[in-house]
Amino acid sequence: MNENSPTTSSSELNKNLITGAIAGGMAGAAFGYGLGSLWTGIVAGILFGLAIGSRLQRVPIKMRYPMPIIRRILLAAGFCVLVGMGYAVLVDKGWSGMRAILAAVLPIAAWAFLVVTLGMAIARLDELQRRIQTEAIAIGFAGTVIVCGGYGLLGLAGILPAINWGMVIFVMVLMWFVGKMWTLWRYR
Amino acid sequence: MKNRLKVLRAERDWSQAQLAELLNVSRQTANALETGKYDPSLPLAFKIAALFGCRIEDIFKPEDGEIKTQI
Repeated sequence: MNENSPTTSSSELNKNLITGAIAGGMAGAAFGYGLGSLWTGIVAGILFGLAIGSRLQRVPIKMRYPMPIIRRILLAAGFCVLVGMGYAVLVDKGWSGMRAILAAVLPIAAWAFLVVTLGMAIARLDELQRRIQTEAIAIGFAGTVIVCGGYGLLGLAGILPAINWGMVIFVMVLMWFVGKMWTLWRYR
Repeated sequence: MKNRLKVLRAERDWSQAQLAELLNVSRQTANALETGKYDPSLPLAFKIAALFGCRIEDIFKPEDGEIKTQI
């Protein structure tokens, strides 16, 4: 059986549940730390991850991407969020010099890991799935430039308040999702 | 591009999932190929032709007016 023909076996379900729990736990730890309740965050994250893991099996087979790829992306995303928490902790320590620089660039390593994982995942898709992802990324990039550029111009004109430019990442993810929905509809 | 994939598949009594597995693509791709929403790459077209034992042009045909040659 090739990787593009997903099975619905219980071992797949178990792997999805374990991956969901680990990724959810990592993300939950970060949010829990931010909200001042680490263990509540971890438990909530694990439960949420388990729900996502079981939900993965219910996606119609026609729409599914290979499960190992989805699991790897989930883990990389969870790791990214966890490193984000580490970044917040280290920056709060008020270090200076080389230690401060290393702490400041720590998230870049996690982002690079996520980007490489996504790149490897896209390379393993079949040609239509790869086209869908490529078009979605292109739409996401163009949409982000328009939305953020527009907001920036309105901000310069004093019409809109200044925002944290870390929001660009969330706009990019949102635009990628819109792009993916659009291309999925085109090739449905 | 028009194609005869649905007919050829029906002749062999294959499901779309079986066709997808034989071509090593997702079912989404097999469906998009069959409905003409997506034209395959040349390597995939050769693979499809080999699978059904015909030539590419026996399976895929351009729509009327799709190909214009300049002399």
